Amino acid sequence: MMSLRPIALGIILLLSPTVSSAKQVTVLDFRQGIPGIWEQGPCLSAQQTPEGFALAATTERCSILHTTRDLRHPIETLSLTVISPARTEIVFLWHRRDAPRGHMVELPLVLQSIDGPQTIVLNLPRYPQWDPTTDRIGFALPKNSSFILQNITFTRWSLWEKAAAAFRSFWTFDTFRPYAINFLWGPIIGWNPVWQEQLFTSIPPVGWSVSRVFLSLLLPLGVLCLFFCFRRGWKTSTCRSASVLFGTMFVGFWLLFDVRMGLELLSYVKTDWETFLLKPPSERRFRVFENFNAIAEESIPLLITSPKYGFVGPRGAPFGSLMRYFTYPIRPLSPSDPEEQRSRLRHWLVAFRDDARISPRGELFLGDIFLAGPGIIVQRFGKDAFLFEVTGSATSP
Amino acid sequence: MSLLFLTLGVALPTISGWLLLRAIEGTIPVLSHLERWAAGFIIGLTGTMYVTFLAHILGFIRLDFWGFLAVQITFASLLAASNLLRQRRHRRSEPFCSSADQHSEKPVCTERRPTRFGFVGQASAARFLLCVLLIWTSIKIIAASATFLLTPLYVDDAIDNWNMRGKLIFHHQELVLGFPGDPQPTDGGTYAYPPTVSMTKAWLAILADSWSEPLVNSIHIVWYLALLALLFGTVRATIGLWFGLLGLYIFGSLPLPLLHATNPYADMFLAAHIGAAACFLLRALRLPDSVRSLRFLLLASLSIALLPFTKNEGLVLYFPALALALALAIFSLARQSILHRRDVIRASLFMLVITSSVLLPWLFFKWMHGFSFGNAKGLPNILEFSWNPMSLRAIVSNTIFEGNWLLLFPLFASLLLWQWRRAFTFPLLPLSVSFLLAYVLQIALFTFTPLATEAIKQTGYARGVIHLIPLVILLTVLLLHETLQNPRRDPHDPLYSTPCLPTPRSSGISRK
Repeated sequence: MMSLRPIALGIILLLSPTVSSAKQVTVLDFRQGIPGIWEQGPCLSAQQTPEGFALAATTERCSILHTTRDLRHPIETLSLTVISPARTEIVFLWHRRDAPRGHMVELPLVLQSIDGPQTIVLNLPRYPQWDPTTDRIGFALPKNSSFILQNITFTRWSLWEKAAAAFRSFWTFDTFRPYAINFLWGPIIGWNPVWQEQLFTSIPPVGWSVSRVFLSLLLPLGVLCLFFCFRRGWKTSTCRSASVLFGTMFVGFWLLFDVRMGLELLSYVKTDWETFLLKPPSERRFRVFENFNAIAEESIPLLITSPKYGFVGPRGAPFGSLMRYFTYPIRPLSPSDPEEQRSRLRHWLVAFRDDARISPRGELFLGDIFLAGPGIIVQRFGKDAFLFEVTGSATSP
Repeated sequence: MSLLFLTLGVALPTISGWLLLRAIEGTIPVLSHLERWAAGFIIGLTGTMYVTFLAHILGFIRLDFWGFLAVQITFASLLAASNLLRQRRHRRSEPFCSSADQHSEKPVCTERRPTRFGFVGQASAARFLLCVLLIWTSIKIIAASATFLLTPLYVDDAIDNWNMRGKLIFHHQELVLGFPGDPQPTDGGTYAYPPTVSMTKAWLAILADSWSEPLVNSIHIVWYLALLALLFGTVRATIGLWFGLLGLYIFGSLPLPLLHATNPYADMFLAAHIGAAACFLLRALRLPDSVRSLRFLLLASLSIALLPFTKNEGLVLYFPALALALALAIFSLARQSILHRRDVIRASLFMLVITSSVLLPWLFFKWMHGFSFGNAKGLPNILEFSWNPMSLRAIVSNTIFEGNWLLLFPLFASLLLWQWRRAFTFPLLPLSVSFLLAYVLQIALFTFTPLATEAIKQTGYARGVIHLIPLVILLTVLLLHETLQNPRRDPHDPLYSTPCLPTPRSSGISRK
């Protein structure tokens, strides 16, 4: 019997580079000073403050660039901590070393309006244009925008962390979204922990399909198997062993795939029980519909007291169709229906529309469009959802 | 409570289906109990809804409790009477023999072949593994089904189409061909689809006297389970219990079909009809016994005839493909002298009559209302040429690289290539040809017509695959069986042909 010692030694030797490849992190902290060289456009105001590097563009779109030649490792993920008092759309820039000087790749980023610092983590290998050894990075600010840059963290992950992330990403599941009735992404490999965490947050998810990996292993083995069988004969033990190996590998991959997808389906079930079925009606959240079903359930008794009612929901969502289905034969009207019909409505349900507002005269508006009123909010379901009842006679402003 | 009304709601249609199948089987029962009940449910429910639809549009009934019930009772009573008469006549008459039996010296063959599951010495381990996998699959099905029945409607087509149309029938107690108060689409929109699924939902709700989501949605799980049972029954009868269970596991393990079983879409419903037709065709071709082959051909004809009343794709895509498969089957059996001219005429006439009785009224109804024949788009739009290479990429991704079908399609394609001689000769030829025809046609539609957006956005392609999944499962399991039995069998090897066990001629009337 063959000794296992040489095999173990081989594995150790093969794995040894992964041990030496440790995680590398470089942090640029702007609260203590401005690290490195930063070149700013003339229109940009840049100032070091105790909170960080305050950047502002007032007259036109301006950019600021930083040389990363001194960085001792390739960049795989980048984390930005910023303070942005208003929602701002900035652009993250980088220069590919094979591109002409001054030719920068642009990646738009949205800074939310949040009190205090917010962190944006970018999994850069997901962008085919990314150059891990880029020599310049920077930011472009649109006209009349500002933010404070607190720190930038560049990370290169170790091989072990990448392998662990790849393993974890195989077991990372999507949630039950409406497209699942047409396709399920299946297992996708992300090659670093940030990638794994962000796997199904973008559509389509970026990464290696595991089927690709399975088939890349199965196909050569199948060809080898055929080769042995053709060459040595179909009834030889070599052919038989090769066939058994191929069959076992195929069955193994199938079972692994089945367990992975089965657990994903069971994770949908678990989520539904945890967020919907076992919750009290008012706290129920149903997949991407959030608490719409709870809102509808609470509103329907009032809505169906009239032959028609008004409904405003987010664009592209099937909530209008759902309301029509739930309350049939009582049917909803939308803001696009003729005003003459809308003016007769007694109730309006507004769901997930932050542009819906009540005027000081108690009238319901959607943006600038008058919907109904004067009236009162009978029930509120959060900051952008409420049930409105017309109390006075409808008067168009 | 929902389960009680579901049982009550499907009882009479299933009994009708059972009686219909039994009537076609005649004096020789060719189906197992499991197959007859499963196919009886699939065919009986659609058949009953079709008769109800006819009675309604002819003005005989309203789609209310008494209307539905009257049709179901009449239909079941007529079939029961016919069965009773046949049984009485049979008791008095001599044993039935077909023309083929009377003239043929060929021994009657049994269908079942000795099977070896897995490799020698590993069979019991493989069986144990299969049992564990079946338990795992059952857990998934039960968990997904229970959650489906307890959660609200989620997917678009159910909200706008299948359940909405059912609710309209439930409220108005008549077939409603457009949403009341909305402008009517010129081609009928979703109202141009056959109303079977929606009528079934309406019937269940009428029975319970309220529109209950768990009740009206539960029927989708039953279609899936019936298809599972039918495929299992067919594979078991053809190549044995363990391969039947393997087929059951392969089908049950596929994630996207399970999601369709537990969401109120009509694709699994259509797949069940295609599955029934494929199972019966396969059985007909595996039996070199004229009497039983003919019975299976007639059963397949019935399943194929109902296809136009399932979904629009059933009419324009799968009906022609499976009708061709049936014609091929009849041709093959006639060429092997298994079917004599009289049998061929009988099968063809039956097919013609049963098909015309469904197809012509439905086509006339569609034409009368100016309804379209396409699915996502009307036929004239579909026939416009536009080349979209992106759709091929999306199709490959959906079929191979996503999690929809596990590794089924690489396995299936490899088996088709490896066992091409077996796959493209009888008895599998009609199934392979009908699959390829329907599949290639779909790919062509998604690549060369404006339907490409359905493939690129992955909103339409996978549903077409779901329809064909029963064919894929049957072919995969049978070809896998061939491969495991003898990977490189000489086609002239006497073992290659279906083994025939000489039996007395009277076996044609033997009963189990």
